[in-house]
Amino acid sequence: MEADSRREDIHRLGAFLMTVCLFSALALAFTYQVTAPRIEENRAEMERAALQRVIPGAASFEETRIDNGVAAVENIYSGLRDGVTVGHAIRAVSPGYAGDVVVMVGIQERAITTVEVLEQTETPGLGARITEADFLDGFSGLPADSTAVDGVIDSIAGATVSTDAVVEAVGHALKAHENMGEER
Amino acid sequence: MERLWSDFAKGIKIENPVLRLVLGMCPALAVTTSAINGIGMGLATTAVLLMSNILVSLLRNMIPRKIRIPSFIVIIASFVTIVDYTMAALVPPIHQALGIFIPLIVVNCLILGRAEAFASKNPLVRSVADGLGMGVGFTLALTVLAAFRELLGAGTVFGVAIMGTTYQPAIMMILPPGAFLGLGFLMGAMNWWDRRARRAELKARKEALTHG
Amino acid sequence: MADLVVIFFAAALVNNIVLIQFLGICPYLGVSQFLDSAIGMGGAVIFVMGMSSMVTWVIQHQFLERFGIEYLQTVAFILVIATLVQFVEMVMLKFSPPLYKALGVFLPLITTNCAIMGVALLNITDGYTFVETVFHALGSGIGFFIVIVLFAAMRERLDRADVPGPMKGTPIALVTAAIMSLAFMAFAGFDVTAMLGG
Repeated sequence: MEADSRREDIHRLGAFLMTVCLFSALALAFTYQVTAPRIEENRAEMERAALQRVIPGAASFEETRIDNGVAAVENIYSGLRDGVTVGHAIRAVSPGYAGDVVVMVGIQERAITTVEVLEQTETPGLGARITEADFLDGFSGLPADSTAVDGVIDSIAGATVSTDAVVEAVGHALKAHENMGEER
Repeated sequence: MERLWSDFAKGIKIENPVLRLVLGMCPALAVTTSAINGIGMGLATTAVLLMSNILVSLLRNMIPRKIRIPSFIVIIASFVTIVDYTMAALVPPIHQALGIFIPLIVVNCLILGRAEAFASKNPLVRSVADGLGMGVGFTLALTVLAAFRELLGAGTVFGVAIMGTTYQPAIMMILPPGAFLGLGFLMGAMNWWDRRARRAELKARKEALTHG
Repeated sequence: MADLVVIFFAAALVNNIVLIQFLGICPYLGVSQFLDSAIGMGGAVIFVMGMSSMVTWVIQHQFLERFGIEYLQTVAFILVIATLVQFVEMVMLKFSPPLYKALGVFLPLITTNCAIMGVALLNITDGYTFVETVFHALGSGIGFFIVIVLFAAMRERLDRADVPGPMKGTPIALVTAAIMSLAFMAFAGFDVTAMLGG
């Protein structure tokens, strides 16, 4: 008799918990439906804004899928204006002091336009200064060949490893750009 | 009315979740590298706390005792996810800066603690006052700690330069050791202030605890 | 293989879960009064962290992603962890009473230990494979064990130190943790790959 009532109890409790989970799932599905488009929009907007900053002359962007032979290069985008390619944006990665440093390098008319640091986890106040304009401006205007960045960038004081990571990532991007050769 | 006020006010000082109850330490230490992050985390936690207190209080006579904890956990986890997605949609930079500490609000003992100790035993209005008070207390503690760390570690507060250009930032303060150090001294300062300001506080706290 | 060793050491030392990532602070401060209980808590965390990481990884990749319901992640993970902890407690009690005696009392506390949930989430956001997840979880658990045991040993002595009144208890413990954290920061930039000759 007691066993019976206990089983009944378990069924009742289980049913209650299931109901709570069901309501929760419904509420979350609804939240997801409402917010998902907005979140995707934000992501696309951020990517587009970064591309626009490194290839200022372009009106639209598309990802090119050319095998460039450099493993550290993740994506290459072409910036287009009136159907003509005006520049390339290359996303490259190199290990820094605390984690990977991801940069986006813009190349237009055989010269670097701007370098942007997209992701980094370097030490705040030291290595993280690789995101500052003072440092990144040093790359702007350099010719787009793979040896252009060797030895011309001043290290940030106390953050040689982080500086080198950015220089190396930019070097990878330039190498990839060279390898693309005539295909671009 | 007076009781409502005391339900609200206790969370700010006497039972401040971070400085007094030592709850919710992980986010308090992890995200307080800048004042704006402190506020963001505080408000996100307050939103979850308030909503969970409301729902738990409304359902308090329906939820079977034996499975109240799993039920509370599901309720809290749902609100956390709602806040997570809403922040991703509306304030993406803060959402990104707070990272996995938003889903981790679910294991913030503060929220489950208030659901269990207060909202499941008290009517709606009092539970709202309690949730708001605790939330404000949590937000204040995080913001003060974050502003202190940002000021010493970067020379700014809310991104505004305070210390002048000759100030050499003590970078350590925005690194992990600075979090422990800052919170340790903040708690110490609170204790000191407490002792000095009113010895009688001790008596009042005892009273608040027995009535609360 | 070298990758796995790197993940393990990075989780245990460089990105120490407590001192650098700030996960599991509650037990770190709360269960570190005595060396014995710190060892018990540390052991329980290694165990549950390993189990829960494997289970949540499978749930994420075989279930949530397959059905496109990743938005249930938080709810699913916390339920899995809570259930798993209960289950582990029951199994331990039945099959290994000595182990239950050593770790059992700490198990209920683990459900709200954000280190467990945090590592489960990091496995997913960092895109680890199943094997990497196991190494990451074990590394994190062992990292937790190391610091909580070291910290407990220090706190036992701290109790006898003459600390200014307002700093007694948690405040001075936090300052001690700050110094430990500073010491662990020296592991950042520590190149495991180079050490292995890779």
